[in-house]
Amino acid sequence: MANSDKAALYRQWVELLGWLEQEAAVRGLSTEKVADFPDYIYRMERPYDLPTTVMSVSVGRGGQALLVAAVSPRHVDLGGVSLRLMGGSKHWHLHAGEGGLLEGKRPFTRERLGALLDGALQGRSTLAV
Amino acid sequence: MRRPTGGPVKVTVDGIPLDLPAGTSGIDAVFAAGRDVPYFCAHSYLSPVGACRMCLVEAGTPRKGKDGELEKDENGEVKIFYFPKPMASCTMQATEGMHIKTAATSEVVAKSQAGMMEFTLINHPLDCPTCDKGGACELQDRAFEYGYGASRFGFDRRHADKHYPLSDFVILDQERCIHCKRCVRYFEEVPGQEVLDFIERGGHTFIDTQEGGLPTGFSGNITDICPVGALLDNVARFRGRNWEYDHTPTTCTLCPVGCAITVDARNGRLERIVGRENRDVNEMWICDAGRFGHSFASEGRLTRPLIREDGKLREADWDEAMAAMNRGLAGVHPSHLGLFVAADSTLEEGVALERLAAQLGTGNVDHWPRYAAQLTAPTATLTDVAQADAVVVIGADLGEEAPVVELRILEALRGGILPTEFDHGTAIADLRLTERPARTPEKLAVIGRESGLWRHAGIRAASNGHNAVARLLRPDTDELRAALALLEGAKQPVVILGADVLGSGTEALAAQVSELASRTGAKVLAIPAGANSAGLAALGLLPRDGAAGYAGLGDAPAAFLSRLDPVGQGLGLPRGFTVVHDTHLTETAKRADVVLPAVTNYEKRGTTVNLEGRFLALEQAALEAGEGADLIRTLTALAGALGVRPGVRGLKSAQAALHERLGVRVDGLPERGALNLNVTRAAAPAGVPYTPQLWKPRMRPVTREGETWVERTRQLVEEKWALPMYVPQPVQPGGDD
Ligand code: SF4
Ligand code: SF4
Ligand code: FES
Repeated sequence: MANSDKAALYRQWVELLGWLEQEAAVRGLSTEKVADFPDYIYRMERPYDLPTTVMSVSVGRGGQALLVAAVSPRHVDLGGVSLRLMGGSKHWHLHAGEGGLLEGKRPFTRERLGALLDGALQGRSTLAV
Repeated sequence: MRRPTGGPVKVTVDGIPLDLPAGTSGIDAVFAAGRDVPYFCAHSYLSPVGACRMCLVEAGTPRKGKDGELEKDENGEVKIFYFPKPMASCTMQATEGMHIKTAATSEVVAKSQAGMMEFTLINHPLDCPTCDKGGACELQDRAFEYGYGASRFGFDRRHADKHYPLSDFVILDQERCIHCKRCVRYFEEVPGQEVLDFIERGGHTFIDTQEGGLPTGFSGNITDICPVGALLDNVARFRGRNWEYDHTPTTCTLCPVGCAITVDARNGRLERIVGRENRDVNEMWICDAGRFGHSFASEGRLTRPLIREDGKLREADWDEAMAAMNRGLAGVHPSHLGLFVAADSTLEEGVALERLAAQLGTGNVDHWPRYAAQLTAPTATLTDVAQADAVVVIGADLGEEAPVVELRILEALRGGILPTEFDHGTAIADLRLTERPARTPEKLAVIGRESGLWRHAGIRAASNGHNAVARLLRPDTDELRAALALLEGAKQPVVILGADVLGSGTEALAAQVSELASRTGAKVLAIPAGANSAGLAALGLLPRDGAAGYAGLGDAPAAFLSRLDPVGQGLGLPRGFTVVHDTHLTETAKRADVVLPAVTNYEKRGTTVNLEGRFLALEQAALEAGEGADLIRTLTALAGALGVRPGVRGLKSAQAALHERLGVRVDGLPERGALNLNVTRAAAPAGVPYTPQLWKPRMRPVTREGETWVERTRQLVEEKWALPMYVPQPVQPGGDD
C-alpha cells in the first residue's frame, strides 16, 4: 500500500470509530476499546505517526460483543479495515478509498454501518436464548 | 502403579527399544523412551483428538508378506513400512513392532513441527508481555523449542473480542485461543456441562458460551488447562508474573476432599491457587471455591493480639496478651476451661490440644463442625468411587460438602477409566478416553434433596435425610426399590452419605449403614463435616466425662476458641473469660476478652486426614501474617499463661506425639498422601446442627476498586484521539536498538 493510502486508511478508520461510537449509542449499545496497536505499545523510542492508538473496538450489549471492528497495524501487507459480526459468520473487508472507506467498489457510508448494526440487533433478537 | 492389562508390545522410538502396555499411544511411547514431542491439545485426563497437529512423528510398522512372515529388506532385517505422512502421535496407537522417529532423528518431523508452530503463531496476537500466562505458556515454550524463531507472515492477524469475562472468575481472550479444544472437551467430559463451544468456522473460529456465562462449580479448571493465555483466572489477573510467585505445593482444606493445590504468593499476599495432580484424590481438577475463594487469606487479617481494656479491645503484644490471659483465667479451675477448635485444624495442632487438655485435666474439648455417628462399614476411597459400578448418594449436596466427589462419580458414569501411569507420569494421551463419552446414568441413584448431581442420576428419590438409610433397607417406593436393587446387583457398589443423613444421625444409623454394607457388599464414603474432622475424631478430640462440648459453650466458665465464631453462628458466647484465636475479627472475636491472631491453613505445616482416611501434607506458603501463630504456638502461650509446661511445643514434638498416639508417621508423607483405614474415629453427640456451606461469606473475591480494564472509546473521541505520549522526534541516526 502506498504511504498516502495508509494515511487515508487510518484517517478513515478514525472517522469510522466516531460513527461506531455514535451509531452504537443511538441503539443503546456500548462501545469498548478492544486493543491498541502492538506497534504502538511496543514501539519504544521509534517514531509513531498514526492518528490513533486504537486497533480494534467492539460494539456490544450486556458485556457481549456483537460486532468487532479492527484496522490492520501499519506494517501489515494488504492492510484494511475488518468488521465482523461475532457469531454471525459475517465478515466485511473495507479498504481506503479517495472519499472514504470502500466495501469493494461500494462506498462504505455511515448509513451502511447503521444498517449493519440494525441487522446485528435483529439477528441477536431472533436468537433463541 | 496401575497399568492396563494386556500383553506388552515392542516399540522402537528413535532406535530405543521399549516394552509398552498394549494400547499405549504414540506420544506416550515417545515420552517413555525419554524423548520429547511438543503438544497442545492432548491432556492426560481428556480425550485425545488430534486437533493441534503439533505432536507429529514419523511412524511405521512391519508388514507380513504372502507367506505370513514379516517382510525383510535386502539385508535380511525386518522392513519397516513408514506411513506416507507424519502422524499425530497423540491419536496413534503404538502397535507391535512399530518404529517411531521424533524430531531428534527425523528432518521431516523437525520441519513438520516447526511448520505447525508457524501456523499456530500466524494469528496469535502480540500479547505476551501483557499476558498473564507469559512465562508459563505452553505456546511460548514450544515455539522456543521447536519453532524457526522468525515470521514470514506479513498479513494482518485475526481480530476478535479480548478480555471478555465469561464469569466473575474466568476471563477469555478470543484472539489468543489456538483452538485446541481442551476447554470444550473438559466441560463436556469432566463436569458434564456443555457450556462452552467453538462458534463459526475456519480462521474465524472463537470460543464463547450461549449460556450467558459459565456456571460456578468447576469452571476454573479451564484456566489451568488452556495451553495459552486465552482463559485466565480473573481473581489473579494482573497480580504477578508466573516466575515471580512463590509456589507452595500443599493441600486444600476448605472441604474434606483435600485436593492437591499450589498456592502462589507474592510479596506476602496469596495471589493465586492452581490445581495440582494427585491421581488418588482430585486427579487434576479442583473446585471453584478451592481455586478462587482465597481472598480472605490476604484481606482484613488480624495481625496482632488484642486485649480488652476498659471494655474495649486494644492492640497488644503477645506478652501483654499472655498477662491478660493469666489475669482473666486466675479464678478459673483449669479443668473447667473449654477448648474448642475448628475442624480444619491440623493433626499436629489437634495432638497439641489433646496433650494440653490432659495436662489441664479438662474434658471439655471439642472440634466443630462434626457429626455424631461412628460408622464401622468399610470405607470407600475416591478411586473406589470412580471405578464403582453402582453409586448411591444419600442426603448429600456434594457441591456444598465435597465437590470433587461429584467429579469422581461422573468419572464412574463414563466408565471409570483412570489414565494409565508411566514412569514419565500419567499418560499424556489415553486412547480409551473418548470425546463425548457415553455415560451410564443408570449406575447412579441420588436419594435426598435436589442437588447438582440430581440431573446426572438415573434413579432419583426425594427423601429427607434422617431415615433415608432405614427406608432404603426396607424400600417403600419404586425409586428406593430400584436404588437397593442397583446396589445388590453391583460388583463394586459404593454408598455416599452426606450431611442430611450424618447430621441427623440417630444411634441406629451406624447399625443401619453396617447392615446396608454387609447386605450389598457396598463400601461407604461418609463425608465428614469439616476438612479434618476425620483426623480430629481419630485423636478423640471430643467432650469427655460428661462435658457439654461446643454445643454447651454458653455454660463454660471460660473458653478458648480457635477459628470458630459461635456468635456469628447464633450460638452465643461462653459466660466467662473468653480467648479467641482467629485470622479475622469475627463477631465472637469482637466480644472476646483476648484475641490472638491465627494463621490460615495456607500458612501451616502439618497434616490433614481427608474423607477417605488419607493423610495429606500441608506446606507453608509465604504469606504475610503479622504476629499470627498456629494453634500449637498459641496453645503454648495459653499454657504459659496458666503456668503449665505444655507437652507439645512445636511441629517436631507434635509429630512424635502423633506417632505415639496413632501409630502413623506424618513427617515425610508421600506426594499422594498415605491411606490409613485402620485409625478408629471416636464419636460423641454433636449438639450443634451443621449446614454445609462451601463458600463462606469471607471467601468471596474482593473487587478491587478503580480497576477497570475497559477504556471507553468515548474518552478517546473527546480527547480528539490525541496520543497520550506522542512527541514527534527525529529518527536516531544509527537506528534504535
Ligand atoms: S480457549 Fe484455550 S483451552 Fe480453549 S480451545 Fe482455546 S486455546 Fe484451547
Ligand atoms: S473439592 Fe474441596 S478440597 Fe478440593 S478444591 Fe474444592 S474445597 Fe478444596
Ligand atoms: S494433535 Fe494436538 S497433541 Fe496431538
